[in-house]
Amino acid sequence: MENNKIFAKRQCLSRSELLDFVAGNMTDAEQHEIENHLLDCPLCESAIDSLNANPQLLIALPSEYPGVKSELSRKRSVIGIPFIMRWAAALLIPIVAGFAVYFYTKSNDYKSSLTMEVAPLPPEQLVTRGEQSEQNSSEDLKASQLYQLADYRKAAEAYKVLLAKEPDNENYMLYLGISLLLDKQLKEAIPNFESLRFNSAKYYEPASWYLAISNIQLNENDNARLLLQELAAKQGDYTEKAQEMLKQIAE
Amino acid sequence: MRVVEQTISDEQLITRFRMSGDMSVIGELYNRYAHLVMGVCYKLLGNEEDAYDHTMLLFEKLTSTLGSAEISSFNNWIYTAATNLCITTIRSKKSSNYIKSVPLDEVTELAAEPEQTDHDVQNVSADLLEQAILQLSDIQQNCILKFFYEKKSYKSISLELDLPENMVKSHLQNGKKNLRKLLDAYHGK
Repeated sequence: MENNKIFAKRQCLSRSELLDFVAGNMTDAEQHEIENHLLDCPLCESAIDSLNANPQLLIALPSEYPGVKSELSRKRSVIGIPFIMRWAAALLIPIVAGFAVYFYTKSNDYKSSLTMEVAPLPPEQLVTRGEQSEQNSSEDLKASQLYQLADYRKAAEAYKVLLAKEPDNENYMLYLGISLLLDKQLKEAIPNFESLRFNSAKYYEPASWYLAISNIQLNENDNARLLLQELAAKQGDYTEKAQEMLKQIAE
Repeated sequence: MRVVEQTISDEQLITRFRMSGDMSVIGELYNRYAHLVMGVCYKLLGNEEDAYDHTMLLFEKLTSTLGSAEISSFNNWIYTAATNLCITTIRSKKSSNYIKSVPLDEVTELAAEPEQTDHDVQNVSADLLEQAILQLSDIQQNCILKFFYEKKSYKSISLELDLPENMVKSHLQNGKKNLRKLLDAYHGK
């Protein structure tokens, strides 16, 4: 055997490799290479232990460095603020920023700010699954991780596999629809939202909202208007967003 | 936006930062290591909030420490820095106050520990390596052979030898360490 196989060096695990390893989504050869690396790398070993203990650990960690100046400012301002508040801020800022950009442009450009408008659901909802089989749990985690990593195309594929196994799982259907929408596969996304509107009391409102967004993207503003009017008339989570969106598509 | 090529080694990145002050280097090192540092901090501190704060603090300090710290292997260095930072926090038992008051250069000083390299052992002959393997204890030898020669995973070795996975890993780690020592001895170190 070549000695350099035993003492071979490799780079530490990337964020996606780390998530894949913990979820068991690797080939035997990839897994072996990483297990060899782990024998000498307490850094990666610790990260795997921690992620095994807390699969949601990396959600709050930005995938890109926010920059030295902004990070220094952030440190000064956030120390002492409860973590839950930071979570809330992390969820709200993209939504608020999305609408700020949206209103600022005040034109048909709103169609191009799709990602911000859609504003993926909070991570809490990602882990609140319905009853699921044990064999689906690792695939479920993988789909959830791909969604969190904003790899919506692969997330959609993963949710399709899950949904094939559990066709009645409304959660999978919703996330499949949102993943397809964010990947701009609008015509594939729509049947999922329509099905949820027809069959699911729990996801009726989010399905209506995402269906409206899909229709706007397809220039089907009349269809979108009907859906938004319905949401705007209800007292629910989407009331205000629907009212604002109605104003935008009227302009 | 990432402007640093991912193929550049950590050491090349650090040299670039020292020569040009290129701040995208910090972004690339964050991209390569922040998730791992977060894991180390979480393992030691036990909660997400402190782990997040310590991770960010470490990367915030990189801009001032990269220029002067002696770093031959960045992953070893940042692991030691993160560990020492967390241990100091645990000792102080006042994590939030500590974050505010930690001296700027402390992370660098804390991380000044010797780093292990495999430069020499990577060049030994296959015969010498096999000779060294034969000198290991039976269990270490067995684990090394199954893992490196038969390409078996921790899990399958654990099933074959009826040992817990962490014991298999431990035998592999100790086996590798002993091999290094034996190979170093052959080289007269």
